[in-house]
Amino acid sequence: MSSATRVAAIAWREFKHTALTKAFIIGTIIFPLIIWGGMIVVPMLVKPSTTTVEGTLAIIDPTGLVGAPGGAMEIELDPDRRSRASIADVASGNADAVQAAEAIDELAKEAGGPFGTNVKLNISLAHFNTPEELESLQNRVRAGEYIGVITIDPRILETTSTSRQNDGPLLSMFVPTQANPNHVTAIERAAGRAVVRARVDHAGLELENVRSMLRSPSVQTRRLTAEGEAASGHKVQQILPIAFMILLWIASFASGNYLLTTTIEEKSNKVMEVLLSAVSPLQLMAGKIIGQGIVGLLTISVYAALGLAALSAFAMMDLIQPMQIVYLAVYFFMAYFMIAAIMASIGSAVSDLQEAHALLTPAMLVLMLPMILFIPVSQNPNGTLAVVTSFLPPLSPFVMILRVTAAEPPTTTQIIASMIVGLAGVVAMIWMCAKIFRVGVLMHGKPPSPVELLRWMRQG
Amino acid sequence: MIEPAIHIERVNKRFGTTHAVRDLDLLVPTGSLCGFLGPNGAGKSTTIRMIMSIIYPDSGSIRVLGGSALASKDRIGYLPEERGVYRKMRVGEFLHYIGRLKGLSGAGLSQRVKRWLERIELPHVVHKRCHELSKGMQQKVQFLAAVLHEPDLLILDEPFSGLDPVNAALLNSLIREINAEGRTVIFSTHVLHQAEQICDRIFLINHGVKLLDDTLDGIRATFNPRTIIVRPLDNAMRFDGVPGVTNMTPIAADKGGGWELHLAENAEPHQIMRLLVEHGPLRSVELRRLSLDEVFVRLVRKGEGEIAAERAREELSHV
Repeated sequence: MSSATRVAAIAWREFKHTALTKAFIIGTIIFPLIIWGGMIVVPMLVKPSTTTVEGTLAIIDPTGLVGAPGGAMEIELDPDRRSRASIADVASGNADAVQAAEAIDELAKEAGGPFGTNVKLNISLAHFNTPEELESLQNRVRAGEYIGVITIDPRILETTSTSRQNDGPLLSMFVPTQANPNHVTAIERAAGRAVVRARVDHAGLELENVRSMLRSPSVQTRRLTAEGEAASGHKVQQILPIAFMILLWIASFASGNYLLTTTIEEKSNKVMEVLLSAVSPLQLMAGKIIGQGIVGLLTISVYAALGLAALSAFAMMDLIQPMQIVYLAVYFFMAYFMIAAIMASIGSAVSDLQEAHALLTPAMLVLMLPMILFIPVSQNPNGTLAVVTSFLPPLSPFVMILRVTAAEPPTTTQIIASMIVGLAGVVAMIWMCAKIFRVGVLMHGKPPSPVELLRWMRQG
Repeated sequence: MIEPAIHIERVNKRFGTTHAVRDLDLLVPTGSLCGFLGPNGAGKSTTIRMIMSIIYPDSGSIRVLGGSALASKDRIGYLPEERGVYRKMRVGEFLHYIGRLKGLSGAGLSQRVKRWLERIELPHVVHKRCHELSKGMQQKVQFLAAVLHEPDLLILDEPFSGLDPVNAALLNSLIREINAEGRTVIFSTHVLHQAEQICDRIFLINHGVKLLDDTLDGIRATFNPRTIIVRPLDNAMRFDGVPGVTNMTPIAADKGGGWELHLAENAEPHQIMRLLVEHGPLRSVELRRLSLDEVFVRLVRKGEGEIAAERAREELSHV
C-alpha cells in the first residue's frame, strides 16, 4: 500500500476523532454562539450603579460668573435646568426629537464615570472671591468640611489664543486623598462645562443656540450597487479585515492546539511506537497535520459561512470579493502549517500537557503578535510596519490578510513576494519541526530544554 | 543458504554517555523462535528498536528480511515495550486503523479482525472502547495489532509482562502456532522459564554486550554441570569408590536426600550412571541440568562490568 494511503488513513483518524465529536461541535459551534449571545445579554444584566456625591464644594471665583449663586456651576449641577434647556430646543423647533434624545443621552454620559457608574451630584456651593483664602479652604477640605475646593483664574473667560499660552492651570481642584475617583471625574466635568457656559454667557450668546450650531448633522450614505442602492457598509468594511484576521487566527490556533493535544495523547497512551512500527515519523506527522488542517478548514468554513450569511441578510454580500475568500484559504494554509509544525514538534517532545506549557510560552509570545499588530496594521495597511511584517514568516499570513482585505490592498507584486517568503518560511519550519518530531516521539522522561531541541534538530 | 531473518553486524549505539549496545553481532535464522534475554536495561529494547529502524545504530549494519526494516514494514509485526491503545477508540476501530496502516484493507481486514479476536478469546469486545478493557485484555489487543497482518517476522518486546498465567499460556501457545506456520519470531523477556519453554534459540545480552548466543540444546551441552544426582534406597550408601567420581556432596532431606556426584574431566556420564546402578539399589539416578535461570544468573554476574563481560565471552568461546 502506498504511503499516501497511510497518510490518508492517519489524517482521517485525526479528523474523525477531533471534528466528529461532541466536544468539537459544542466547542466550535455552540460555544461561540453562547459567547456572542453573552455579549448581548450580559451588558443588559449589568446595569450601571448610581452613586451620589453630597456635600459642599468651595469655589474661589474672582470672575463671579462661574461659582457665584445663580452662576454657571449652579446650573450645571442641577440636572433639571440643564435638560430643560435641551428640551427647550425641541419646543422652539430648533431640534428634532432625535437630537433631544441625544442631548439627554449626552447628559447621562457626561455624568458617568469611565466604567459606566452613574454619579449624581447633589452638591451645594460655597462661593469665595479672593485667592488668599485658598490655604484656609484647603485645610477645611482636609478637615472634611468641604468635599473639595476649586480655584478659577480670572483669565479663564478669555477666548483669544494668547490666553492658552499661559503656563499656570486656569482651573484647579483640591480634593481629600480618599476622594472617590468617579466623583472627582464627575465634578471635574461639571466644572469644565460650567466654564464653557460662563464663557458663552459672557460673550452674550445663548449656550443652547451655540450647541445647536456646533452639532453636525448626521449623514445617511447609500451605496449605489448595480441593481440600485443599498445601505452603506463602510462600517462593516472597516472591521472586515480584522474579522478576516481573527477568523484566520482562531481557526489556525484551534487546529494547532488539537494537533498538540492528540500528539501528546499518542505519547502518553504509548500508542506512538505501535504507530511507528507501521509508518515513519514523517508520514505520521504529515497525516496528523493534514487531518487537523481539514478540521481547521471546516472551522473556518463554518464561521465564514455564518459571516457571509449575516452579510447577505443585510444585503452586503457585495462587500466581499471572491478573491478575498481565496486569499483567506491560502493564508489559512500558510498560518496553519506554520503553527501546526510548531505544535506537532512541541507535542512530540513532551509527555504531558503540563510539560508542554514550558515550551509553548516562547512560541505563544511570537504567535500572539498578530493580535497586537492588527491595530497599527489595519490603521495604516501600507505603512512601514505593515510592509516589514508582511515578510516575516510567522506573521506574514496574519498581516497580509489584514492588508488584502483593506480598502487599499497592496500591490500584486508585494502579495506574490510575501507569499513566496511565507511559503519558504512554512517549508523551513516544517523541515525543522519534522527533525524535532522524529527524535521527540521516542523520548520519554524529562522534557527537553530549548537547547536540547536545537540538538535534536541537528540529530534528526 | 536461506537469508537469515535478522542479521546484525558489529552494531554500536550510544545515548550520551551510556553505551547502550556495543559491538553486537546477531543472526536470527528464518523460521526460528528466538528468545532475547537480558536483565532490565541490558539493551534489549534498544536493539529491537534498531532492528525496527525506529532508531539507527551509530555504527555497524542491520539487515532485516534481506534489507532495511523500513522497506519491509508490512512483513514485520512489532509489539513495542512501550505500548498502548487509543483510550477512547473502539477496539474494532483501533484494529482496523492499525490494519490499514499495515497495508490491509477492505472486507478481508474485517474478517481478519473478527477471526483474530476469536483466536485471542475476545470476540465480544469489538464494539467496546479500549479504556473499558482490563489491562490484560488491552495487552492481548495490542498483541493482536502486531500480528493482524500475519507478518513473516514477529518481534515482541516483553510480550508476557503484565499477563496473568492463563493469558500468558494463551500467548505462549499463539506464539508457538505462529512459529509453526513458518514465521520467524523473536521476543525479549527477562522471565526465563517462558523462553526455556518455547524457544529454540537464545540470545543473552547485558550492558549492551552479547553474553550468549546458542540453541537451547547447545546451551545445555555448554553449561553441563557434570553432576549426577543419585538417591540410593539406603541413605547410608556412599559412592566414593565409583571410578570417575571426584567428590560427593549430600543433598538435604527436604530436597529429596541423596548425593550430588561431581565427575572427573574425562568421565563419561552414561557409563558412570550404569556403574552406579550396579553399585547398589537406587531410588533414582539422573543427570543434573542447569536451568536457564542459573545460566542467566551465572553469566550476568560474571558479565557485570565491561571487562568482566569480555572475559565471560572469552570463556564461552573456549568451551
